[in-house]
Amino acid sequence: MKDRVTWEALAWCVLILGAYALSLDFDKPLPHYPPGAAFWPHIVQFGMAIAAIVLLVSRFLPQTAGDEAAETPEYIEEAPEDLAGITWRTIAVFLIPLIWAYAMHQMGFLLVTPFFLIGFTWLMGVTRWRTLLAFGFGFYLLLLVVFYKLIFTPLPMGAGFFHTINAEILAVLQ
Amino acid sequence: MEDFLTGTALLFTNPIGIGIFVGGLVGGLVFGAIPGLNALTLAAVLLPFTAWIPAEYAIMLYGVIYVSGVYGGAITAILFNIPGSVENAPTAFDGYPMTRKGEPSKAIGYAVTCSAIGGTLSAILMMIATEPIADFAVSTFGPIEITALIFFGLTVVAGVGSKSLAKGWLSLGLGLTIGVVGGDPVGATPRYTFGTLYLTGGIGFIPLILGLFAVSEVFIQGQRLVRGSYEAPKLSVSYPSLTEFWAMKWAVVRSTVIGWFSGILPGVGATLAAFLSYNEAVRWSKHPERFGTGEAEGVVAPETANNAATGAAMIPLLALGLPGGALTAMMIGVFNLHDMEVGPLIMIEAPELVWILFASMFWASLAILVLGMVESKGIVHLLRIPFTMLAPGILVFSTIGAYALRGNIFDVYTMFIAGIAGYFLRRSDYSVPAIVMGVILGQIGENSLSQALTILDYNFWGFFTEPVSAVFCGVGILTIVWGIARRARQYFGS
Repeated sequence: MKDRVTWEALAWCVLILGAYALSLDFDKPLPHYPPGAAFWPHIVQFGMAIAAIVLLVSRFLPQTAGDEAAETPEYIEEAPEDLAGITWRTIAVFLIPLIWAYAMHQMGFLLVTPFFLIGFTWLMGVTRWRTLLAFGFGFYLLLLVVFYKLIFTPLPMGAGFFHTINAEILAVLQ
Repeated sequence: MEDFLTGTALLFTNPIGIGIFVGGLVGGLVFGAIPGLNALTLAAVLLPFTAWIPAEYAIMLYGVIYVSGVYGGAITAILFNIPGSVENAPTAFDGYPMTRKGEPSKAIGYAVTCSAIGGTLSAILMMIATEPIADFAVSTFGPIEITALIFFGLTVVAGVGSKSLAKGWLSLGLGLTIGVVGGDPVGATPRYTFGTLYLTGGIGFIPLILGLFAVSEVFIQGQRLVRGSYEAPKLSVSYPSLTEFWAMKWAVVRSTVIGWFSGILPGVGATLAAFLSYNEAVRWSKHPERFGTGEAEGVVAPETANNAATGAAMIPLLALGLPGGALTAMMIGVFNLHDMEVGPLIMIEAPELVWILFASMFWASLAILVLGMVESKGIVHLLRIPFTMLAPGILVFSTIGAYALRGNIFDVYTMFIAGIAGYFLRRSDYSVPAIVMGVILGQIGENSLSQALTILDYNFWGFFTEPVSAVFCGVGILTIVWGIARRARQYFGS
């Protein structure tokens, strides 16, 4: 636990130093504002540097009764602390939405969303195909009605060939 | 009183007026509750069509949408940790933990009642004292005072949502740093944009909060589900009792005052009202450590304040022609579409228009109470949907919300990156509320700081020579000292 605090403090230091180094690009006085565009970021970085040092110092302080009493209550669902028991499904929980976002960028919302809905629901533990298909396509239909027929929300149309296909489907829908 | 009754009669004696009132009320509630598609979206979509309806009803429609939209966003914030709009973000800090504790109906009950109280009181105050208060607020609160107010707000924010003071400050700093990305407020000099056009306008706030709240929540619960340790939230339909409401009386009064004065200040509006009110609730509480874990006052404070700000926002708009936010700016557009100009003369030139607006906002606040009471018993049953099906639904709605605002796919990537970052930050006891508040307060704060420094000729001591700002700065410094002293006492004993 204490090692983790050390690593966190060091990570913050790296982040602050990186932000400071990048701020040198715009650290010059402005015509109507001599402190310049870097003035406010530097104040923030100064404050964060102090907080990071305090965090690092706290690593050497003994845990107090106050800390123990301040344990998170049971009903607060925080993320599991240990990473033991990580399976491919755990990693897929993070990866599938990212893949969906990328696929949506390339192929459009209309084409990829039903596969995402079915895939992610399956990942969450629903294994009956009838339930998966009914939910996936039922929910997709609801999305089409609400966002394409009722409130005409602009959603990703994909690129190139897929853009054309999506436009054709959209024309049929609307 | 006579004017109010005239406004009410104009509103409810014409079927078109009733239809527009009900449409605005329901539309605001629905759009407010869909993440990303807030009441602003509805207002923007409807703007061109207002040219074809009478001016008084067009303005009234926007007043009603404003009131109901601000409340509507609280529902998803409480049930699914997805704030419907920015001013509902602090409601999620404690509203969602209340849902996890098995008290969703209670949280919605508090939200609806306090929204109605805040909105109604605000509408009454708006009717009584539009002109004198507008003059006072606008002449007293300039950039110096707003900077001091923001500084004070930031000092309180750092103590919210994390057990460690250092982690609270680092979370706040991270939020402030995120807020810095994009053009600076004085010369629009690009900062941390890495040469990309997308970052020039800054990191979108809606994708950020959707990521930090909704997506990170799906990741956390999804991981629990995969590991077999997921527990569905308990369901209860208990409405808060009168005794419980009575215990909140000072929080309601305090938040109404904060919301009202924030609403009057041009450019500040309901968002800052909600955040400042939450901060004050934490500061005044005997148990500040409970905030973020399902404290009812954490729902009461922002929901009272953001609705209290709606009526107040009409004051600078009507009396001085100054919009307090995006929706009130659109109202100026409605006036322009009808060849009218807002300003001090509007009260003389078109009193029926002003009073129909006042009356509609008053009645909309009361209607929210009735609708909300019915809704709070029914809508919690959404939680019966298994998380296995809710999770993809939340991700899809959040994605639509993130994308629809600017039509930019990078907002979707931002949302998912914020979601992953939120997951790891929450794992390590960093404060997501402090990050969010850092972004919003930092952007307003930097803008007013640059103006204040120019006025003060770059002399920081000027903040202590102006009475109002001196008070805020002094209390802010005391808050920092008190926070450090409290931690020191824990380590070294009293």
